[in-house]
Amino acid sequence: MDLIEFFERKNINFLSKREEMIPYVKDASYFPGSLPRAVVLPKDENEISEVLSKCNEENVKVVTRGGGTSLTGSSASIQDSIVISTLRLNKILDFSGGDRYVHAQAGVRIDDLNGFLQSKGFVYPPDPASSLASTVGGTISTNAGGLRGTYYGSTKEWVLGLGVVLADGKIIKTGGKVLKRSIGYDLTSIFIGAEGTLGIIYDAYLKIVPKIERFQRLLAFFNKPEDLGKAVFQLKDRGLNPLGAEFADKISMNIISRISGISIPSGSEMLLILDIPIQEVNEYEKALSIIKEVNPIDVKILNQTESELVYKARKGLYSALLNEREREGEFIIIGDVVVPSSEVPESLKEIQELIKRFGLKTSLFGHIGDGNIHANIFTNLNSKEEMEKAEKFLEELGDVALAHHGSVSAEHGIGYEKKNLLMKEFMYKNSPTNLDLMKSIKRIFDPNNILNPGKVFDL
Amino acid sequence: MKESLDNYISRCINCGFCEAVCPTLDAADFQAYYGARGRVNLAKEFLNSSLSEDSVINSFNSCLHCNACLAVCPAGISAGEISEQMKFLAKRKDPLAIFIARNIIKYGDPLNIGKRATFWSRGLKFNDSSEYLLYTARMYQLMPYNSAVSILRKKFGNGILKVFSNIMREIGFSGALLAPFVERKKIEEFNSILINIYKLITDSGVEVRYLGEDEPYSGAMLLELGFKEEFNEYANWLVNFFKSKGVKKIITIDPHTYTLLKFQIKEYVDFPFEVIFYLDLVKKEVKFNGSITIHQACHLERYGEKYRKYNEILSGTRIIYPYHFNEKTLCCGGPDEVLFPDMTDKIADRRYQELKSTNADYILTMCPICYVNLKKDDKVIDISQFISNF
Ligand SMILES: Cc1cc2nc3c(=O)[nH]c(=O)nc-3n(C[C@H](O)[C@H](O)[C@H](O)COP(=O)(O)OP(=O)(O)OC[C@H]3O[C@@H](n4cnc5c(N)ncnc54)[C@H](O)[C@@H]3O)c2cc1C
Ligand code: SF4
Ligand code: SF4
Repeated sequence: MDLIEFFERKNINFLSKREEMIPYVKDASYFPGSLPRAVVLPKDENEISEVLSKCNEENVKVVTRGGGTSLTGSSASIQDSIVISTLRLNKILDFSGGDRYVHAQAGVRIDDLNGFLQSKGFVYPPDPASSLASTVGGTISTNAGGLRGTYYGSTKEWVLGLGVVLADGKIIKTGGKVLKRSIGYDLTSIFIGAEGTLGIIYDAYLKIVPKIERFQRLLAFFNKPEDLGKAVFQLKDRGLNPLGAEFADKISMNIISRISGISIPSGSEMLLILDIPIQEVNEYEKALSIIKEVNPIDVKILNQTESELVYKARKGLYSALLNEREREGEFIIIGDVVVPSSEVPESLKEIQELIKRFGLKTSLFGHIGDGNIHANIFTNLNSKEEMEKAEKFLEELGDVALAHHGSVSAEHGIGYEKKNLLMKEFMYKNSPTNLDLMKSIKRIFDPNNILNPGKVFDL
Repeated sequence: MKESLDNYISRCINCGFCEAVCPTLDAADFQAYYGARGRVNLAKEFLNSSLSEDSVINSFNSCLHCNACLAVCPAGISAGEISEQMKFLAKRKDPLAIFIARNIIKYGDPLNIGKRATFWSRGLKFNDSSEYLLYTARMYQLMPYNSAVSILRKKFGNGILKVFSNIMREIGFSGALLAPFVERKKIEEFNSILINIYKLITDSGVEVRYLGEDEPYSGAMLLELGFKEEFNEYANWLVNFFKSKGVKKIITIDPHTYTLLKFQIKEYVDFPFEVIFYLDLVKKEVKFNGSITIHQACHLERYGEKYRKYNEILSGTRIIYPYHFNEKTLCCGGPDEVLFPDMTDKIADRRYQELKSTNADYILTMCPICYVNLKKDDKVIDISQFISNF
């Protein structure tokens, strides 16, 4: 029985016309993707299990898709595969403020989850800028980070347990409601960041916290990137814990100023936006005095209105950068590296030199509180020469991160885009065995290599 | 649209934000073909000649033009606008859409309800020399007849309705044919809303003029159903008609007509009249001790401006906003009524549940289409009824 007949007989929702499948081919990266054989929209884990066991039997590739917001090609469809869309798994199943968990299906979008939690006074902290569209399953599978990553860490800190369908259709449950558990190998964590290559997550127990309502937002302007880096490191080194610490280079800073109406003092090259939680009254004064030690051009303490305007401007920054595209076919490729805070000053300086050397229009911003730097490269997708140049730039950006004890991918994952860089990272650490171990794990979970093959690494 | 469609679409980065807020995606059980990002992808493929018109047209026809997508798009693109442009390009139109378009062009009214559109005004005083024209565009009056079409559809199915509309568009159609299926109660309900609106305006010291049976429909549905050339002609005719009547200031009373005349029509003709939404003129502060929730109209929130004048009138009332509010307001599903009625039902139901879950004493609507779709209990009332009563 062929697959289509199988779906029909089992009454599983599927799409197989070309026009119905085209919207599932690409994700938000520049990888084109290919037309699948069919798209399946399962209503529960049992249907996922039936589809997977059939695909495993017939050796058909499977690509799982949540919000399809991946920036690395990880949810781009593969020729002749079955795409499994999780969007019908959109229920919040259970919640307990006292136990500090929410139990949600994999297709619940992060903003919808937080909309629900907010009405109860809680928050699920991982907050990627794509939270409107990205899903519980997708963000777990890329270990997403976000604006509050410096305070809360990335998604991996917040996953208590998972429901997963394995490649052969077996359903497993890992972890659960409790906040800790010591029972040997941590099977939950193996699926975090796995990009749909080890199993399909159908639901998750997620840790939640009461929302922090009060914080003070400050802006600090610097002439040198090193000074901005030093300020952030000093803050953390002296015991402060910012709720958020975002930075912007000149291009991005100008945009933020334009949107928020807040003026930039002359000579400023770098902007730091700092959120200090007001738990103890003198915390932000302490922050202020530390920043002042590092030669800022100016520091502004924002009032409520300014604070909101700056937040809006920061949230809209990427969108405003997109509007700065001038040429047809121009796209923004986002480099995503991370270094320890102590290495931020030197790394930022080197990355700026890199930008100058490559001559590609590039703007830097990112979650500098946890050392995450995004390089937004304006690239013409139709120009082979420019694409090659951008790829080379990304490689050297990775080199800078590695030289400073960081990583080639902070929060966007590997997908197709960073397979080479992943190997580079392991080689740099002189630990190529990591890749062998990953491959061995993959073979145990997915012996026929049907789950998202060709992503993360080639077997 | 000022730039080419190709160019406009090429700005899309495929982030999927639009898809996350598109009401038709959920209503279609998450088939991306019926979602905003799907529409952008399909338009791109169609323009590359890789897909036929027949295979993609339902995707665009099912778009509500609610612009929820535009409100979240980082690249500033509206999948609603793309859908509209794609409908313009489509060569084959649905028989029901053609029937409605023909009626608009022939009778100045989608369902040719004739003088039934004026019954509400009996006994009311108008001032023919007032600079203000009260322009109902027949919207509230048409609603009971729209509902009758829905009843017929449910009774006889879509197929029969299409055959019927094929015949009717040839031999001519009169709203009188629908009369046996129209609920008298509904006519009275809408007429009383119109009277409320009239009184709110005149009690605020503004005398108005009304064109009675001569008053034409605005033409908005021609655009929504993809008849660009026809709309262009109609818009020119409308401008000349208003000029011939010496019109200067137009008071609109529904969001679709308001945004059409204030913004959209200007892409087609020079529209030299001042356009006002009636709430601008209302001088009354409501005093109500309970709570209300409001269903803000897509056209007031996301077409050219954020229209929130009613906040002043309601400032003394406790408003409990639903989950989707202000620029994130959720469409009632109404624009799909003609071609995708099942989708309308699902979207309306979802929105009604969301509004109801606020547990407010009243649910206020400000558009006749929203009112029809969300009127599932007595708590749902038109904003003019609420302002009049309290
Ligand atoms: C404008 C924009 C801003 C962004 N900002 C951020 C940011 O601030 N921080 C950040 O970390 N990322 C960011 N991203 C990247 C992206 O949003 C994240 O990678 C996100 O986690 C992907 O979630 P998704 O639901 O869209 O997953 P998808 O793109 O659908 O999938 C991502 C990967 O997860 C797999 N997958 C999805 N669901 C499941 C499941 N249920 N079970 C198993 N595997 C699954 C897929 O196969 C794929 O490999 C941004 C993207 C965009 C477009
Ligand atoms: S939100 Fe805008 S950029 Fe993103 S997919 Fe939709 S149309 Fe494209
Ligand atoms: S206008 Fe509304 S229905 Fe149409 S694509 Fe945008 S969000 Fe969806």
